Amino acid sequence: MPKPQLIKIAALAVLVFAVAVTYSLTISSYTLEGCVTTAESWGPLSVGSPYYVSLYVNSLIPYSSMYCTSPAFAASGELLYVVQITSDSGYVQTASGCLGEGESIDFYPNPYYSGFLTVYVENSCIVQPSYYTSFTLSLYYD
Amino acid sequence: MTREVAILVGVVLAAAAVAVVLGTGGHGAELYLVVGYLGPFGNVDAALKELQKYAVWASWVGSVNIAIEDGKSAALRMLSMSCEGRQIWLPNGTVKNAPCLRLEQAGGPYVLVYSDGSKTLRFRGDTLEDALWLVIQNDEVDETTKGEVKTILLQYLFDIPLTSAAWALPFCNGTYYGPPRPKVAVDAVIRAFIYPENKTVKPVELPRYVELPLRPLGPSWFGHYVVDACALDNVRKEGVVAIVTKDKVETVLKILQKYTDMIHIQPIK
Repeated sequence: MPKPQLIKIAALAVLVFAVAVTYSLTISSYTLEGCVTTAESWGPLSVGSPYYVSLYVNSLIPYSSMYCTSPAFAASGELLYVVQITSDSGYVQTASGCLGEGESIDFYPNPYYSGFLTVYVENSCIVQPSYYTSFTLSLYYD
Repeated sequence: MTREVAILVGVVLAAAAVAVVLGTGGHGAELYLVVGYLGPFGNVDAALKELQKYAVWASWVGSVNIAIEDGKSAALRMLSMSCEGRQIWLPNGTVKNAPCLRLEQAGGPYVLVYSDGSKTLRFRGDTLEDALWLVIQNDEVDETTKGEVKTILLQYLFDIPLTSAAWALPFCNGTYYGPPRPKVAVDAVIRAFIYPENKTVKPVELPRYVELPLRPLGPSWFGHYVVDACALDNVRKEGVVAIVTKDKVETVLKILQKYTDMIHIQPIK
């Protein structure tokens, strides 16, 4: 077979594989909400072995009229969100970051370890009004 | 909540948000910032192509992390936080008061105090690391607290900074909004094995922060830190951001609703 044709077939195979991977994912989504003054935890959720984990902040509303004024944080206020998966073998996977409305953190967990997922949310701003937060935890499975 | 119910709720909330913004709060604002989160497996390119016909400006957006505080001081500060008002939200929908671990004394020795409403335990170590290991090893400490302590231990041992999320937008001209001298990581995940029995940690993967030679144009861009995506490798397209005029908000919203229920709209003042 001529080389260009082989390359085309290989490219097509890669494309078919990529499409198959993309569209075979199923999503479990959890909308979690609550008020955070100092720190709150959600979970533990038994999540098995997701292919991908994402946490998106739908809304973050200060209960008081004071916004978070720490110069280290974004203007509209943020909370620290920690997504942690732990398995019985001692394997720990953690992604964290201070997020505002419309922001996300996400990661690919190691597929060889299944476990429990906990979302920990902390108000680490210097000025601490209470915040109402609603966030979506999406778990992608292949 | 099923996916269908979540989508329905999202559509209703987004429609309500538009009604409020257009009806009462937005008379003085002519432009709106519209954000749609599709996730890394969403069809971002297709959504963007549709949006661009109606937007003043539109772009794909990714998510990265900017270091804002070093790991050791962040760990100490987190452990020093008040225990008031802490709760655990259980998967069955119930809420209960959370146990709390607090650093009572930092140095000579380090003292951590754990309380869960029925008992109080004190952990004393020559170093903070010693005290944290004692917490993880103790059978009377709940698993959620142990999980939090494991994260803090990793942050402290490897000095992994506290980060703030930033939008990665492909301006490709060095645009940056945020704190001075940005250290940025595209992937902030920490992977490690923790063995409490012999107090050892075997890191598998730690986040890598790169200091970018970018000067901030301002503290934030519409309330978000922004890093030029072209200055980074491996940024994933996760959503779309658009600036639209008032009369196009509903059209853009309808387009985005075909792709996601996670939509955020704010007037630009």
